[in-house]
Amino acid sequence: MIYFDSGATTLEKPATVRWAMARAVNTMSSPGRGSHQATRLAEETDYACRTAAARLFGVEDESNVIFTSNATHGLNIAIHTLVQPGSRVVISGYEHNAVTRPLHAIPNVTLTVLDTPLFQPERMVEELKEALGHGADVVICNHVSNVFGCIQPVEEMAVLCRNAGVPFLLDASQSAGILPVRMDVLQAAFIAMPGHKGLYGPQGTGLLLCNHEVLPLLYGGTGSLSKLQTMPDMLPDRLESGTHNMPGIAGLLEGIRYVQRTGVEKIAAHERRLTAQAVELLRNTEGIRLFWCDGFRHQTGVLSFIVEGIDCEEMGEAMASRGIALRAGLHCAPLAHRTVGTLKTGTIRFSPSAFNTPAQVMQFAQILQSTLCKM
Amino acid sequence: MVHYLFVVRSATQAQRIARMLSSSGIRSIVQRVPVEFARQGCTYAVRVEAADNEAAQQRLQQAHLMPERILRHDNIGYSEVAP
Repeated sequence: MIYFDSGATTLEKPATVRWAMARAVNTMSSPGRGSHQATRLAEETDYACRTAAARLFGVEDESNVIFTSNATHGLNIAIHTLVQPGSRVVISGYEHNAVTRPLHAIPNVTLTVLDTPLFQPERMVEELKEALGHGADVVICNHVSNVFGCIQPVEEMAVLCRNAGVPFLLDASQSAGILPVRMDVLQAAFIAMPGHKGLYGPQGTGLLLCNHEVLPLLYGGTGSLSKLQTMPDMLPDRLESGTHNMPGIAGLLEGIRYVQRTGVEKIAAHERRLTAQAVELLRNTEGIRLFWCDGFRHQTGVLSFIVEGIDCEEMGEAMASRGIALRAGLHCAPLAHRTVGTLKTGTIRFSPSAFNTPAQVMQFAQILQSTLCKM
Repeated sequence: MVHYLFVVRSATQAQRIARMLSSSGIRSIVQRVPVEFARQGCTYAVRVEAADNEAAQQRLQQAHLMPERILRHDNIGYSEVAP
Protein backbone atom coordinates (compact mmCIF):
# COMPACT_ATOMS: atom_id res chain seq x y z
CA MET A 1 0.00 0.00 0.00
CA ILE A 2 1.14 3.53 -0.77
CA TYR A 3 -0.16 5.74 1.99
CA PHE A 4 -1.34 9.28 1.27
CA ASP A 5 -3.71 9.77 4.18
CA SER A 6 -1.37 11.57 6.57
CA GLY A 7 -3.93 14.34 7.11
CA ALA A 8 -5.78 11.72 9.18
CA THR A 9 -2.79 9.94 10.75
CA THR A 10 0.80 9.59 9.65
CA LEU A 11 1.17 5.84 9.26
CA GLU A 12 4.92 5.51 8.86
CA LYS A 13 6.69 6.68 11.99
CA PRO A 14 10.37 7.08 12.79
CA ALA A 15 11.78 3.78 14.10
CA THR A 16 12.61 5.49 17.40
CA VAL A 17 8.87 5.97 18.03
CA ARG A 18 8.25 2.22 17.88
CA TRP A 19 11.26 1.45 20.07
CA ALA A 20 10.31 4.03 22.68
CA MET A 21 6.76 2.69 22.86
CA ALA A 22 7.93 -0.88 23.31
CA ARG A 23 10.34 0.22 26.03
CA ALA A 24 7.57 2.15 27.79
CA VAL A 25 5.25 -0.85 27.81
CA ASN A 26 7.96 -2.89 29.51
CA THR A 27 9.42 -0.35 31.91
CA MET A 28 7.00 2.45 32.80
CA SER A 29 4.06 2.57 35.19
CA SER A 30 2.08 5.67 36.16
CA PRO A 31 3.81 9.00 36.69
CA GLY A 32 3.05 10.64 40.03
CA ARG A 33 1.93 7.43 41.63
CA GLY A 34 4.89 6.13 43.62
CA SER A 35 8.56 6.14 44.42
CA HIS A 36 9.81 3.15 42.48
CA GLN A 37 11.86 3.07 39.33
CA ALA A 38 8.91 2.39 36.99
CA THR A 39 7.04 5.50 38.10
CA ARG A 40 10.21 7.62 38.11
CA LEU A 41 10.97 6.65 34.54
CA ALA A 42 7.41 7.56 33.57
CA GLU A 43 7.75 10.95 35.28
CA GLU A 44 11.02 11.66 33.52
CA THR A 45 9.53 10.71 30.17
CA ASP A 46 6.48 12.91 30.80
CA TYR A 47 8.75 15.79 31.64
CA ALA A 48 11.05 15.26 28.68
CA CYS A 49 8.04 15.24 26.34
CA ARG A 50 6.60 18.39 27.88
CA THR A 51 9.91 20.25 27.59
CA ALA A 52 10.46 19.10 24.00
CA ALA A 53 6.97 20.31 23.07
CA ALA A 54 7.46 23.57 24.97
CA ARG A 55 10.64 24.25 22.98
CA LEU A 56 9.06 23.39 19.63
CA PHE A 57 5.95 25.51 20.25
CA GLY A 58 7.42 28.46 22.14
CA VAL A 59 5.81 27.76 25.51
CA GLU A 60 7.78 29.37 28.30
CA ASP A 61 6.63 27.10 31.14
CA GLU A 62 6.41 23.39 30.30
CA SER A 63 3.71 22.99 32.98
CA ASN A 64 1.38 24.65 30.46
CA VAL A 65 1.84 21.75 28.02
CA ILE A 66 -1.01 19.32 28.69
CA PHE A 67 -1.23 15.74 27.48
CA THR A 68 -4.56 14.94 25.87
CA SER A 69 -5.81 11.87 24.05
CA ASN A 70 -6.13 13.75 20.73
CA ALA A 71 -6.82 17.24 19.38
CA THR A 72 -10.56 16.81 19.91
CA HIS A 73 -9.97 16.28 23.62
CA GLY A 74 -7.90 19.47 23.86
CA LEU A 75 -10.42 21.46 21.85
CA ASN A 76 -13.21 20.26 24.14
CA ILE A 77 -11.28 21.40 27.23
CA ALA A 78 -10.67 24.82 25.69
CA ILE A 79 -14.22 25.27 24.41
CA HIS A 80 -15.67 24.09 27.74
CA THR A 81 -13.55 26.79 29.40
CA LEU A 82 -14.10 29.68 27.00
CA VAL A 83 -17.68 29.25 25.80
CA GLN A 84 -20.71 29.57 28.04
CA PRO A 85 -24.40 29.42 27.16
CA GLY A 86 -25.19 32.61 25.30
CA SER A 87 -21.59 33.26 24.20
CA ARG A 88 -20.88 34.92 20.85
CA VAL A 89 -18.31 32.83 19.00
CA VAL A 90 -16.56 33.59 15.71
CA ILE A 91 -15.23 30.63 13.73
CA SER A 92 -13.74 30.19 10.30
CA GLY A 93 -15.76 28.48 7.62
CA TYR A 94 -13.21 25.66 7.58
CA GLU A 95 -13.70 24.23 11.07
CA HIS A 96 -13.78 20.53 11.80
CA ASN A 97 -16.61 18.84 13.73
CA ALA A 98 -14.17 18.72 16.67
CA VAL A 99 -14.95 22.43 17.00
CA THR A 100 -18.49 22.73 15.68
CA ARG A 101 -20.00 19.82 17.61
CA PRO A 102 -18.83 20.96 21.07
CA LEU A 103 -20.15 24.43 20.20
CA HIS A 104 -23.46 22.98 19.06
CA ALA A 105 -23.78 21.20 22.42
CA ILE A 106 -23.69 24.48 24.36
CA PRO A 107 -27.09 26.19 24.45
CA ASN A 108 -27.77 29.54 22.85
CA VAL A 109 -24.33 30.08 21.36
CA THR A 110 -24.39 32.71 18.63
CA LEU A 111 -22.06 31.63 15.85
CA THR A 112 -20.54 33.94 13.28
CA VAL A 113 -18.94 31.97 10.46
CA LEU A 114 -16.23 33.60 8.35
CA ASP A 115 -17.16 31.97 5.06
CA THR A 116 -14.11 33.27 3.22
CA PRO A 117 -13.43 31.70 -0.20
CA LEU A 118 -10.48 29.32 -0.50
CA PHE A 119 -6.92 30.70 -0.41
CA GLN A 120 -7.92 34.30 0.37
CA PRO A 121 -6.32 34.93 3.76
CA GLU A 122 -6.39 38.73 3.43
CA ARG A 123 -10.14 38.56 3.03
CA MET A 124 -10.49 36.38 6.13
CA VAL A 125 -8.63 39.03 8.14
CA GLU A 126 -11.06 41.68 6.90
CA GLU A 127 -14.04 39.49 7.74
CA LEU A 128 -12.70 38.88 11.23
CA LYS A 129 -12.21 42.62 11.77
CA GLU A 130 -15.84 43.16 10.88
CA ALA A 131 -17.04 40.30 13.08
CA LEU A 132 -15.07 41.58 16.06
CA GLY A 133 -16.63 44.98 15.49
CA HIS A 134 -20.04 43.40 16.11
CA GLY A 135 -18.80 41.91 19.40
CA ALA A 136 -17.41 38.46 20.18
CA ASP A 137 -16.49 36.47 23.26
CA VAL A 138 -14.23 33.89 21.60
CA VAL A 139 -12.59 33.34 18.20
CA ILE A 140 -11.77 29.80 17.05
CA CYS A 141 -9.85 28.97 13.90
CA ASN A 142 -7.88 26.10 12.46
CA HIS A 143 -4.41 26.91 11.24
CA VAL A 144 -4.82 24.71 8.18
CA SER A 145 -8.00 23.21 6.77
CA ASN A 146 -7.95 19.43 7.02
CA VAL A 147 -9.88 19.24 3.74
CA PHE A 148 -8.20 21.79 1.49
CA GLY A 149 -4.85 22.44 3.14
CA CYS A 150 -5.45 26.19 3.02
CA ILE A 151 -3.37 28.11 5.54
CA GLN A 152 -5.35 30.61 7.55
CA PRO A 153 -3.84 33.99 8.51
CA VAL A 154 -3.64 33.05 12.18
CA GLU A 155 -0.84 35.48 13.08
CA GLU A 156 -2.93 38.44 11.92
CA MET A 157 -6.07 36.97 13.48
CA ALA A 158 -4.30 36.52 16.82
CA VAL A 159 -3.22 40.17 16.79
CA LEU A 160 -6.77 41.32 16.06
CA CYS A 161 -8.08 39.17 18.92
CA ARG A 162 -5.42 40.44 21.31
CA ASN A 163 -6.21 44.04 20.45
CA ALA A 164 -9.91 43.38 20.98
CA GLY A 165 -9.31 41.48 24.24
CA VAL A 166 -10.99 38.37 22.83
CA PRO A 167 -9.52 34.91 23.60
CA PHE A 168 -8.24 33.09 20.52
CA LEU A 169 -8.34 29.30 20.29
CA LEU A 170 -6.17 27.76 17.58
CA ASP A 171 -6.73 24.28 16.21
CA ALA A 172 -3.27 23.25 15.02
CA SER A 173 -4.31 19.74 14.00
CA GLN A 174 -2.97 20.09 10.46
CA SER A 175 -0.09 22.42 11.15
CA ALA A 176 1.79 21.13 14.20
CA GLY A 177 5.05 19.73 12.86
CA ILE A 178 4.38 21.17 9.39
CA LEU A 179 4.28 24.94 9.92
CA PRO A 180 5.77 27.09 12.67
CA VAL A 181 3.27 27.15 15.56
CA ARG A 182 4.46 29.44 18.34
CA MET A 183 2.57 30.30 21.48
CA ASP A 184 5.06 33.08 22.25
CA VAL A 185 4.23 34.70 18.91
CA LEU A 186 0.50 34.07 18.78
CA GLN A 187 -0.28 34.55 22.47
CA ALA A 188 -3.43 32.50 21.90
CA ALA A 189 -5.56 31.44 24.87
CA PHE A 190 -5.13 27.80 23.84
CA ILE A 191 -3.55 25.80 21.03
CA ALA A 192 -4.77 22.23 20.54
CA MET A 193 -3.08 19.60 18.40
CA PRO A 194 -2.93 15.84 17.88
CA GLY A 195 0.23 13.83 18.40
CA HIS A 196 -0.44 11.33 15.64
CA LYS A 197 -0.30 13.52 12.54
CA GLY A 198 2.57 15.93 11.86
CA LEU A 199 4.28 15.16 15.16
CA TYR A 200 4.67 11.49 14.16
CA GLY A 201 3.55 10.16 17.54
CA PRO A 202 1.07 7.32 17.99
CA GLN A 203 -2.73 7.53 17.99
CA GLY A 204 -4.21 8.37 21.38
CA THR A 205 -1.87 11.31 21.95
CA GLY A 206 -2.39 15.05 21.74
CA LEU A 207 -1.29 18.31 23.31
CA LEU A 208 -3.10 21.35 24.62
CA LEU A 209 -0.96 24.45 25.11
CA CYS A 210 -2.47 26.72 27.74
CA ASN A 211 -2.12 30.47 28.11
CA HIS A 212 -5.41 31.12 29.92
CA GLU A 213 -7.19 29.99 33.07
CA VAL A 214 -8.79 26.65 32.41
CA LEU A 215 -11.61 24.43 33.67
CA PRO A 216 -11.08 20.69 33.95
CA LEU A 217 -13.12 18.46 31.69
CA LEU A 218 -12.31 15.29 33.63
CA TYR A 219 -12.18 14.98 37.40
CA GLY A 220 -10.18 12.33 39.24
CA GLY A 221 -6.86 11.28 40.70
CA THR A 222 -3.72 13.17 39.79
CA GLY A 223 -1.22 11.76 42.30
CA SER A 224 -1.09 15.21 43.90
CA LEU A 225 -2.95 17.12 46.65
CA SER A 226 -5.04 14.00 47.28
CA LYS A 227 -6.86 15.27 50.35
CA LEU A 228 -8.57 17.95 48.29
CA GLN A 229 -11.86 17.01 46.67
CA THR A 230 -11.46 19.79 44.13
CA MET A 231 -9.03 19.45 41.25
CA PRO A 232 -5.56 20.94 41.86
CA ASP A 233 -5.33 24.53 40.70
CA MET A 234 -1.91 24.07 39.08
CA LEU A 235 -1.11 22.81 35.63
CA PRO A 236 -0.60 20.22 34.32
CA ASP A 237 -2.28 18.28 37.14
CA ARG A 238 -5.51 20.27 36.85
CA LEU A 239 -6.21 18.81 33.41
CA GLU A 240 -4.54 15.40 33.64
CA SER A 241 -6.58 13.17 35.92
CA GLY A 242 -6.25 9.42 35.45
CA THR A 243 -3.36 7.25 34.38
CA HIS A 244 -1.21 8.64 31.60
CA ASN A 245 -0.75 6.97 28.24
CA MET A 246 2.95 6.27 28.79
CA PRO A 247 3.62 4.26 25.60
CA GLY A 248 1.90 7.07 23.71
CA ILE A 249 3.81 9.84 25.44
CA ALA A 250 7.13 8.03 25.01
CA GLY A 251 6.33 7.63 21.30
CA LEU A 252 5.22 11.24 20.99
CA LEU A 253 8.49 12.40 22.56
CA GLU A 254 10.43 10.57 19.86
CA GLY A 255 8.10 11.94 17.18
CA ILE A 256 8.73 15.49 18.36
CA ARG A 257 12.47 14.83 18.46
CA TYR A 258 12.27 13.59 14.87
CA VAL A 259 10.47 16.78 13.80
CA GLN A 260 13.07 18.89 15.61
CA ARG A 261 15.96 16.98 14.06
CA THR A 262 14.51 17.14 10.57
CA GLY A 263 13.14 20.67 10.79
CA VAL A 264 9.57 21.86 10.31
CA GLU A 265 10.47 23.90 7.22
CA LYS A 266 12.19 20.95 5.59
CA ILE A 267 9.22 18.65 6.20
CA ALA A 268 6.80 21.27 4.87
CA ALA A 269 8.93 21.86 1.75
CA HIS A 270 9.14 18.12 1.07
CA GLU A 271 5.37 17.65 1.37
CA ARG A 272 4.66 20.66 -0.81
CA ARG A 273 7.06 19.39 -3.47
CA LEU A 274 5.24 16.06 -3.55
CA THR A 275 1.86 17.73 -3.80
CA ALA A 276 3.06 20.12 -6.49
CA GLN A 277 4.28 17.07 -8.39
CA ALA A 278 0.83 15.47 -8.03
CA VAL A 279 -0.79 18.68 -9.31
CA GLU A 280 1.53 18.77 -12.33
CA LEU A 281 0.74 15.15 -13.15
CA LEU A 282 -3.02 15.55 -12.79
CA ARG A 283 -3.90 19.12 -13.72
CA ASN A 284 -4.52 18.34 -17.38
CA THR A 285 -6.40 15.10 -16.77
CA GLU A 286 -9.93 15.44 -18.06
CA GLY A 287 -12.64 15.28 -15.41
CA ILE A 288 -10.39 16.01 -12.43
CA ARG A 289 -10.89 19.24 -10.52
CA LEU A 290 -8.04 20.08 -8.18
CA PHE A 291 -8.28 22.54 -5.30
CA TRP A 292 -4.88 24.16 -5.16
CA CYS A 293 -3.23 27.49 -4.74
CA ASP A 294 -0.74 28.62 -7.37
CA GLY A 295 2.76 28.38 -5.91
CA PHE A 296 1.35 26.80 -2.72
CA ARG A 297 1.75 30.15 -0.99
CA HIS A 298 -1.33 29.60 1.14
CA GLN A 299 -1.44 25.81 1.11
CA THR A 300 0.36 22.93 2.82
CA GLY A 301 0.83 19.53 1.17
CA VAL A 302 -2.86 18.66 1.56
CA LEU A 303 -4.68 18.47 -1.77
CA SER A 304 -8.39 17.84 -2.35
CA PHE A 305 -9.86 16.87 -5.71
CA ILE A 306 -13.09 15.80 -7.35
CA VAL A 307 -13.57 13.44 -10.27
CA GLU A 308 -16.54 14.61 -12.28
CA GLY A 309 -19.30 12.04 -12.55
CA ILE A 310 -17.77 9.64 -10.03
CA ASP A 311 -18.74 9.54 -6.37
CA CYS A 312 -15.69 10.35 -4.28
CA GLU A 313 -16.24 7.40 -1.94
CA GLU A 314 -16.37 5.03 -4.93
CA MET A 315 -13.19 6.59 -6.22
CA GLY A 316 -11.56 6.18 -2.82
CA GLU A 317 -12.62 2.51 -2.75
CA ALA A 318 -11.30 1.94 -6.24
CA MET A 319 -7.96 3.50 -5.38
CA ALA A 320 -7.74 1.54 -2.11
CA SER A 321 -8.31 -1.71 -4.02
CA ARG A 322 -5.33 -0.75 -6.19
CA GLY A 323 -3.11 -0.07 -3.19
CA ILE A 324 -3.43 3.70 -2.81
CA ALA A 325 -4.64 5.01 0.55
CA LEU A 326 -6.53 8.32 0.26
CA ARG A 327 -9.37 9.84 2.25
CA ALA A 328 -12.72 10.46 0.62
CA GLY A 329 -15.97 12.02 1.78
CA LEU A 330 -16.56 15.04 4.00
CA HIS A 331 -13.52 14.53 6.27
CA CYS A 332 -15.59 15.34 9.40
CA ALA A 333 -15.66 18.93 8.18
CA PRO A 334 -19.02 19.57 6.50
CA LEU A 335 -18.65 23.27 7.23
CA ALA A 336 -15.49 23.47 5.10
CA HIS A 337 -17.31 21.75 2.23
CA ARG A 338 -20.26 24.09 2.62
CA THR A 339 -17.91 27.08 2.42
CA VAL A 340 -16.23 25.84 -0.75
CA GLY A 341 -19.39 24.42 -2.34
CA THR A 342 -18.47 20.73 -2.21
CA LEU A 343 -20.94 19.64 0.44
CA LYS A 344 -22.94 17.53 -2.05
CA THR A 345 -19.98 15.82 -3.66
CA GLY A 346 -17.36 15.65 -0.94
CA THR A 347 -13.76 15.43 -2.13
CA ILE A 348 -10.89 12.99 -2.27
CA ARG A 349 -7.88 14.07 -0.25
CA PHE A 350 -4.24 13.39 -1.00
CA SER A 351 -1.99 14.11 1.99
CA PRO A 352 1.65 12.98 1.99
CA SER A 353 4.09 12.84 4.88
CA ALA A 354 7.84 13.23 5.31
CA PHE A 355 8.23 9.55 4.39
CA ASN A 356 6.59 9.62 0.95
CA THR A 357 8.70 9.81 -2.20
CA PRO A 358 8.35 11.30 -5.70
CA ALA A 359 8.25 7.76 -7.10
CA GLN A 360 5.19 7.04 -4.97
CA VAL A 361 3.50 10.19 -6.26
CA MET A 362 4.20 9.06 -9.80
CA GLN A 363 2.61 5.68 -9.05
CA PHE A 364 -0.39 7.39 -7.46
CA ALA A 365 -0.97 9.52 -10.54
CA GLN A 366 -0.57 6.58 -12.92
CA ILE A 367 -2.96 4.40 -10.92
CA LEU A 368 -5.49 7.22 -10.66
CA GLN A 369 -5.42 7.79 -14.40
CA SER A 370 -5.69 4.11 -15.23
CA THR A 371 -8.53 3.72 -12.69
CA LEU A 372 -10.41 6.58 -14.33
CA CYS A 373 -10.16 4.86 -17.70
CA LYS A 374 -11.83 1.75 -16.27
CA MET A 375 -14.68 3.51 -14.44
CA MET B 1 22.63 11.56 57.42
CA VAL B 2 21.14 15.03 57.16
CA HIS B 3 19.27 15.89 54.00
CA TYR B 4 16.73 18.47 52.86
CA LEU B 5 13.46 18.12 50.97
CA PHE B 6 12.31 20.97 48.75
CA VAL B 7 8.57 20.43 48.74
CA VAL B 8 6.71 21.35 45.54
CA ARG B 9 3.15 20.90 44.34
CA SER B 10 3.49 18.54 41.41
CA ALA B 11 5.69 15.91 39.84
CA THR B 12 6.31 18.30 36.94
CA GLN B 13 7.66 21.01 39.24
CA ALA B 14 9.87 18.44 40.96
CA GLN B 15 11.29 17.28 37.64
CA ARG B 16 11.93 20.84 36.60
CA ILE B 17 13.85 21.63 39.78
CA ALA B 18 15.83 18.40 39.69
CA ARG B 19 16.94 19.06 36.13
CA MET B 20 17.82 22.61 36.88
CA LEU B 21 19.95 21.57 39.85
CA SER B 22 21.56 18.83 37.81
CA SER B 23 22.53 21.37 35.14
CA SER B 24 24.26 23.32 37.93
CA GLY B 25 26.16 20.24 39.05
CA ILE B 26 24.01 19.64 42.13
CA ARG B 27 22.86 16.08 42.64
CA SER B 28 19.25 15.62 43.70
CA ILE B 29 16.54 12.98 43.80
CA VAL B 30 12.80 13.38 43.19
CA GLN B 31 10.81 11.68 45.91
CA ARG B 32 7.43 11.67 47.61
CA VAL B 33 6.88 13.69 50.75
CA PRO B 34 6.13 11.75 53.97
CA VAL B 35 2.34 11.72 54.55
CA GLU B 36 2.71 13.49 57.88
CA PHE B 37 4.18 16.49 56.05
CA ALA B 38 2.06 16.38 52.92
CA ARG B 39 -0.57 18.84 54.09
CA GLN B 40 -3.01 18.42 51.23
CA GLY B 41 -2.19 14.81 50.46
CA CYS B 42 0.34 13.19 48.13
CA THR B 43 2.96 15.57 46.96
CA TYR B 44 6.52 15.72 45.70
CA ALA B 45 9.88 16.97 46.82
CA VAL B 46 13.40 17.26 45.54
CA ARG B 47 15.94 15.84 47.96
CA VAL B 48 19.44 17.27 48.32
CA GLU B 49 22.16 16.34 50.75
CA ALA B 50 23.05 18.79 53.53
CA ALA B 51 26.30 19.75 51.88
CA ASP B 52 24.42 20.92 48.78
CA ASN B 53 21.53 22.64 50.55
CA GLU B 54 22.85 26.17 50.50
CA ALA B 55 24.02 26.08 46.90
CA ALA B 56 20.77 24.47 45.82
CA GLN B 57 18.66 27.13 47.52
CA GLN B 58 20.74 29.87 45.96
CA ARG B 59 20.32 28.34 42.55
CA LEU B 60 16.56 28.01 43.03
CA GLN B 61 16.31 31.63 44.10
CA GLN B 62 18.22 32.76 41.02
CA ALA B 63 15.84 30.75 38.85
CA HIS B 64 12.73 31.98 40.71
CA LEU B 65 11.82 28.40 41.50
CA MET B 66 11.38 28.49 45.24
CA PRO B 67 9.72 25.44 46.78
CA GLU B 68 6.58 25.73 48.88
CA ARG B 69 8.37 24.48 51.97
CA ILE B 70 11.69 23.01 52.99
CA LEU B 71 11.95 20.00 55.30
CA ARG B 72 15.14 19.02 57.08
CA HIS B 73 15.80 15.40 57.96
CA ASP B 74 18.24 14.40 60.69
CA ASN B 75 18.52 11.53 63.17
CA ILE B 76 15.35 12.70 64.95
CA GLY B 77 13.23 12.88 61.84
CA TYR B 78 11.76 15.60 59.62
CA SER B 79 11.21 19.19 60.68
CA GLU B 80 10.13 22.20 58.69
CA VAL B 81 12.68 24.92 58.18
CA ALA B 82 12.16 28.34 56.70
CA PRO B 83 13.23 28.56 53.07
